Amino acid sequence: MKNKGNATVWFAAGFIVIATVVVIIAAVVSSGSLNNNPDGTAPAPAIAADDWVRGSRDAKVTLIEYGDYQCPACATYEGLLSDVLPNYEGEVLFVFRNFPLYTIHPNAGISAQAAEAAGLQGKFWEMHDMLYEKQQEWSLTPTNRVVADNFDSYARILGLDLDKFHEDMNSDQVLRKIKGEVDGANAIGVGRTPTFYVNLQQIQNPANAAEFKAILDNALEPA
Amino acid sequence: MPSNLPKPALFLTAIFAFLGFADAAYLTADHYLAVPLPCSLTQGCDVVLNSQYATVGPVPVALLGALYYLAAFFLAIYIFSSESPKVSAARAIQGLSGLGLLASVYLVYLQFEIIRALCMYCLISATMTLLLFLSSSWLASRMSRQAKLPA
Repeated sequence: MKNKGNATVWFAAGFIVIATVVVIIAAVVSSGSLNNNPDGTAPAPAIAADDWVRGSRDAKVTLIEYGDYQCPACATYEGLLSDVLPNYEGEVLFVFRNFPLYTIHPNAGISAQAAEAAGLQGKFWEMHDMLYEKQQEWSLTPTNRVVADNFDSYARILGLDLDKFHEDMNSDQVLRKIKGEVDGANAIGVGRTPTFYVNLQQIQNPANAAEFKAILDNALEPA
Repeated sequence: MPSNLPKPALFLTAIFAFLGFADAAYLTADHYLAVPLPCSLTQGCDVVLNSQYATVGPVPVALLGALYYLAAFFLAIYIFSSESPKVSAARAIQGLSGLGLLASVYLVYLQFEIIRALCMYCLISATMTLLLFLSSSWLASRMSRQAKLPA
């Protein structure tokens, strides 16, 4: 009788463990299958009127970055781009689109909102640069304090209207724009940050400034 | 089940081990199956996320975690289903979770100071290990005290 009871306990425990594993695998597989284009061959959406751009919209070559302000690699590439892009004034249009990695970077979403809100006061690129420059300072601040503890001081340095900045950060306009960019990125299978597109085609991330220049030079060459 | 078993301590130990297992199993499944969303310096290379710390050789840390929680869970079931008190099994869970706690402290340190990115599921696991260590210590001390009492 006792043995039968023990067997039931072991059977139940084993069943619970196996059921848990099956449910988890099913959940992970279904979430993983959301990536439509893992090989990155789909072209990026064309440059839109509400895209933040650096350079002339008439430039021959477009360089789109899907980035996350809390991503250390994106901050590294920000430095690389500030060395490379000044060599291509008028020739290359740089576009930044948000792709916050919400699951691994708790402040990715709110920082994207801060940059967009600054943009509504004409200071997108200033905030964009500041967020990357000061990434180490705000990355580990708890999300519920990061605006008050960090972003407000950046907004003050940039001379933003703080009330409007706060209001815009959570406005429909800003949230919709970020969501649109994330949805667009998911649709073309952006799987990491930063991901770059030259003339709407995904490129392998260059290892250094020289490689970046080579890619842009190549794109600028007459076909 | 021994009649004088400290049930609340055992129950909590089994629950924390199970929750830790579910969490670590999710991370393991994610490692093997899901499309990763890394923040990476070079394409296809998860340098910045935690790949260099997320595996020990070819084995993901999450899988080691899942096996450790599973062992703790089955040890708890073993204590529950045994007819005599198994103090050594309770001590084994305590020892395992003590090692787990040391590993968790290191992994949390890595997240805050080295990788500078927080993974919620990893923090949940660290919390479960702390709770498991506390509950199994409680269980082990209650069981060993009872074992010393005259029957």
